[in-house]
Amino acid sequence: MHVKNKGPGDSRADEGVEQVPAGAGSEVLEEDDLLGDLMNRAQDGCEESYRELLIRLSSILGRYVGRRVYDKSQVDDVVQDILIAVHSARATYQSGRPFGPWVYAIARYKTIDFVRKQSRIGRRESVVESSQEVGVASCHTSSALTDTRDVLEQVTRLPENQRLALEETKLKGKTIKQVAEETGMSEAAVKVYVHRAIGSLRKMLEGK
Amino acid sequence: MKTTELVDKLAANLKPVTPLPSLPRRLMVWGSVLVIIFTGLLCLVGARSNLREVVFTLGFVGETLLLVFAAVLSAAVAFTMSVPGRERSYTRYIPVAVLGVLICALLVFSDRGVISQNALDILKAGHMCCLEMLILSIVPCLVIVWMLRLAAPIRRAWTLAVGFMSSALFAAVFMQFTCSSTGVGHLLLTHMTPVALTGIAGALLGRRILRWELNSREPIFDEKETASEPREREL
Repeated sequence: MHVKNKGPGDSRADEGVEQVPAGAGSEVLEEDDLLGDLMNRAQDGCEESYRELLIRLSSILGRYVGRRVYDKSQVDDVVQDILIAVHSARATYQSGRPFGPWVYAIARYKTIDFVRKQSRIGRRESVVESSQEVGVASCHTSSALTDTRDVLEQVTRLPENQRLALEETKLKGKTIKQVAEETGMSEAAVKVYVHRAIGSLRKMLEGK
Repeated sequence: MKTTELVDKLAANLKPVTPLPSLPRRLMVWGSVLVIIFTGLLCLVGARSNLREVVFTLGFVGETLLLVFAAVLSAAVAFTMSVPGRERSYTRYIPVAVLGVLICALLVFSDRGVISQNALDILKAGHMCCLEMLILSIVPCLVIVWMLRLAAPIRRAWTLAVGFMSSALFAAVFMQFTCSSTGVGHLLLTHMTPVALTGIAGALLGRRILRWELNSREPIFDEKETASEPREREL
């Protein structure tokens, strides 16, 4: 689980949305009028205002997410998700209303969404990794060797992106960051490909 | 992709948008659509045979006003919940509380003579009412889904549950003018059950139907690859 202690009301998306999350709203509230004004102009199609708004939001949201997500390498991904959500929902901001509650409601929703997904992925990955470790530890036996061969054979049948991500990270031992840089994919995408590759492998081996 | 690159992409893809209309305006649109639909239907189907006798009775007026109030309030809550940051933690419980009050009021206002009837008998006799209400709710449900999808609901399941309840409550108002039965058992079992059923359906479907993050057809969403939604075609 990559979540810090988030305070009351943060543990579930279905619990009450506070108007401004505790300890996180001071930055936005200080600039509330300015950000609201920038959003109004962005709704009219002003690109410069929108760029300025998003840049200001990036740093505010970076601090907000940084306090809630332990894995610092993931903070940028969450911030990007929030910015896309802000972009999708920009028509729902109503002129004259405070900007802080609007943007923090979206940020909180996307952060919780991310944390839930990560915890689901984490649970699944840990199961597979432990079984792989067991497989490596007992590879002296002939059946374990056969299993390993089976797994490697199935790896070659995976879709290109999944195979690449899995081989580079799990077999060659490279970090997610290294693989992302080498392949040109985002770190998040590499993680998802690895996760999906493990899922596909499991299905293949179960079906065998 | 770095955040600065994303910012550039989002800004480059910016198009002017029409801000979402205010809550009263959305409510007015929603109400007008329903009034038009149900008035048209009433002209087609015809009113209940004993409407003249009951239309000025306290029971009928009370029930109808309460149903209209509950329907409008539910719609208002659904529309409020569909805008980020507008909802208070207690907002979503209001329609449920009002429905409880409505059921209590039905017990007070309605004809008590039928309450002693067996629930199964009432359901058997009034199952057509139940079915009619469910059918009548379909179009209002579609309209409210369309209206909610224009916004960005955070609590999708609750929002659609309340929205669907509102649609079914409007159907219940319509039934007030077409269904001749006045027994409280009939009203509770065959007019309120579809309201509960549609609410449950909304809660179950909300997460899927109201996914506003993927609504946009702007180019940025074809190109951006995020941790949560990697492009399926590449996998």
